[in-house]
Amino acid sequence: MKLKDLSPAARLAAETQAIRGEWEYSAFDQLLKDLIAYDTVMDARVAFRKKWMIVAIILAFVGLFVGILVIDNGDGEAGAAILVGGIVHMITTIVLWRKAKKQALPENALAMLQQLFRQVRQDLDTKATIRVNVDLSGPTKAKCGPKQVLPPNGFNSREQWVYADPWCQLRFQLRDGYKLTLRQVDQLIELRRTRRTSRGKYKTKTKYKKLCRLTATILPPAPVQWAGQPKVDPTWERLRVAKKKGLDVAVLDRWFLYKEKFERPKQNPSGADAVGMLYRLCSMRPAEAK
Amino acid sequence: MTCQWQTGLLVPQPCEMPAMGGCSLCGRSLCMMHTVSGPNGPACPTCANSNQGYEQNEETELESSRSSYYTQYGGANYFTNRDRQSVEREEVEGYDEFET
Repeated sequence: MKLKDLSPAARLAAETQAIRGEWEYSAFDQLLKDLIAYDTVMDARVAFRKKWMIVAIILAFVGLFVGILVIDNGDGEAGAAILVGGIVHMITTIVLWRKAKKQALPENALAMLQQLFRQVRQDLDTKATIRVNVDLSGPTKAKCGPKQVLPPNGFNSREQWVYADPWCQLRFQLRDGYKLTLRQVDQLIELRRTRRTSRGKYKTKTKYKKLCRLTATILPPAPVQWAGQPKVDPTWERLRVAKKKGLDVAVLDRWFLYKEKFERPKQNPSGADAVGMLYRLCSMRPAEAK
Repeated sequence: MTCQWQTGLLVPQPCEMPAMGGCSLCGRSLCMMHTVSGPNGPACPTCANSNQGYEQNEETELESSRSSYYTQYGGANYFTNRDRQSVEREEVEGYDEFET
């Protein structure tokens, strides 16, 4: 599905890389479906343009040698044309590839939202809407903190960049009056290490670590005595009860960690992980509410 | 007679649609929407999941995920000891306002 084929709401979301506002379940599900279809096309385009770019880089190098040979043989104009043509072609393909890459959406994030709402759709209050504030632009430069210089630890230098991306905020009401919120904050850590080899060369390695913090909250419609604590793994989960406007609000945090060596991790907690958290929070409701 | 199937995951509620038949395996009365067809006759999503040859639809998927949420979220090695230390566990004073 191309951008022009999308509905106005989906086109706006794809162009701004954000979903905001109040949505009914059916409209939101349709929007996610459209965006996933659009992203599939964009991913194919990125893959195609990447191949095209690699071919263009190879051709530019071949053109460089051919152009120099042609210039040496006395045909300066033809040689220069081959050289310039190869370089322009290479730059064009790089620009097009980067542009397509920027337009692509994070498919795992969209899939998570779709799975989440498909599983809880029967529990939603039909009169209430889903409040959505989702940022699909990913860890951009604007979200990057200052460069951190770490102790070398045997390397020549160790530098680190931390991106903080609070990309997802959802709020919806269940049919028994309880309100649920879900928030996800991603922290991308980019670590670059440089060392000197025995031959005197400098080699740099980059590692990526993505730490996702998923926070689910349940807000009761009236003061309640929570029925008990659900199963919580203290290794990567934390449950707390906080006061808000005179109400006891139960908050469940869960951390997820993903690592990659050469590129930014694309993984994301699944919709089932999010539903699992909401499910356990809902099990804390007093018996009469269940 | 009404459908005896419980709809929903977080807030289970009876379906209460008029029953059109029953599960041939457990005898529960079911509406059209919650009847799954298969080799042993019509069945409820629970029986369809536990017996082979039944079609899979949204209701059977929801039913299988519903039971899996009860199980412990363990087994996966999400964190090493070193990673665990790097996870920030700052104490939050009260609940921070949720704005969308």
